[in-house]
Amino acid sequence: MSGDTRIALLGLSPDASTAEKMVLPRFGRITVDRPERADWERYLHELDPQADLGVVFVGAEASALSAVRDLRSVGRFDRTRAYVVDPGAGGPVPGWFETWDVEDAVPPSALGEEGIGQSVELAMRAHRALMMDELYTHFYLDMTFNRIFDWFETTRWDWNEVDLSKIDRAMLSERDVDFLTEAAVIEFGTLPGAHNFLREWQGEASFSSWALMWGAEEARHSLVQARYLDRIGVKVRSKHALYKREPYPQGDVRAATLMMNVISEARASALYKALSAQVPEPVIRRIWKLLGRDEARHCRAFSVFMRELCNGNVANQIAAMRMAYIWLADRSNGIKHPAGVFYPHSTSTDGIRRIETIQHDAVDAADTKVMSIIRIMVNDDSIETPRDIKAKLRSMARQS
Amino acid sequence: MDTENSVRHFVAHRLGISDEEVAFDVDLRSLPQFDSIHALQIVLDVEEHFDIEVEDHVVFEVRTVREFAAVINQIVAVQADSAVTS
Repeated sequence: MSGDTRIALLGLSPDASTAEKMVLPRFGRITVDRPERADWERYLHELDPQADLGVVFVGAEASALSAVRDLRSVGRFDRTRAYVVDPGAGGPVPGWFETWDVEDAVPPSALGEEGIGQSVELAMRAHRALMMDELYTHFYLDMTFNRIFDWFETTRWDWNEVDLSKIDRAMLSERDVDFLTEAAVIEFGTLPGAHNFLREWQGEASFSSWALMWGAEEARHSLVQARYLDRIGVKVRSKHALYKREPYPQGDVRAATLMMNVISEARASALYKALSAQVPEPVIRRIWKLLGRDEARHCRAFSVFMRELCNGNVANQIAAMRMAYIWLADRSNGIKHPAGVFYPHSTSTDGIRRIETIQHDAVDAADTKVMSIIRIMVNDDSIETPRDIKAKLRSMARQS
Repeated sequence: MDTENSVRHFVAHRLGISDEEVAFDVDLRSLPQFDSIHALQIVLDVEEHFDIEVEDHVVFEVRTVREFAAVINQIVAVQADSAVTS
């Protein structure tokens, strides 16, 4: 009785299926338990810790309310789906269903020999949806997405803040236009980033919802810069966007993917701020300032989601630290940014290198910020350099 | 086990292949699945095994088992010298 998927039928009528095992194409082999009502609490407490109790069907004879309450009193069964078997199913459901997270009432025929396969299939689909969420919360508004939504809604810049009719072309150098063109092109790398987020975060709702906001904000970055360029007679070719339609390799540990984005957003923010500080033309100075602020907001949000995954999870901390080392320790070919690293067939690798020359210590400041995020994540104030990250990784490996 | 064989073993272990599949002079980046994270992990294994610290650039620049073993032997020799003189 270990490591397997189980369902429990409690207090059902003699008409219910007598199957002891089921095999469903989507879920494989499922063991069917039929504990006595008197043994229900003991069953819940003694069930093998490795077993996954996916679904419970409770008959009317089992005092459904108290049986479900017993189930919910054991923390590990908070994602077990509960159904009440009731001849009156289809009518109004009692208020306690919502209180104790009962999925639905089903008629006794749903558990008969003919109906049980479909009933268990649907119930297991509901159960699996919850099990796929690593950071499951009972209530939607407890998700981190809800906690950071207002912050994002109230700090987003408005297009009215950017008056493209006031551009002073005479104040722009060729170098400014080069940086601007490349910045617009580099930003096309965020769309495959959004594709990857949704792929890697399958089965999750909180970060995925925020990733949509992030993607929408990032899409404005190419657009506002391309519109500016258009006003000064420079057309951005769509090929630059299409070069980045190729998805980059999907990450295998979410915390590590988030670390890569913490770093790239911190660096992007620093570079936009440096661009803004050196350009005399007021409209693009304003735009770059706004984009720098956006990237700083994104960096903070990515770090919130990353810390959530790393909190008390050493494996995630190690994965994030490894990623940090890879992205921070090597600048032999200029700073690393996904838009350059994953798209060597575009102009972005060289573009980032050129932009980086404006203010060398801008990226140092960004990386210093990342180091402080890492210190908080692993609760170690001694980490200041990539070498310290490597030393920390060695010590974490020894302890794990 | 000499240094080259130790390094080869760590590389093979991290990639989930047999030692024999890792030639001493093969470009590590041409091995299936090899990436920067593997390079870092192998460097961490080596540091722990030989009780040394490898410079950051080695993680990103080292190309073959033989080359990496030479770097390690050099670090070990320098450490031994400084232990004798101190």
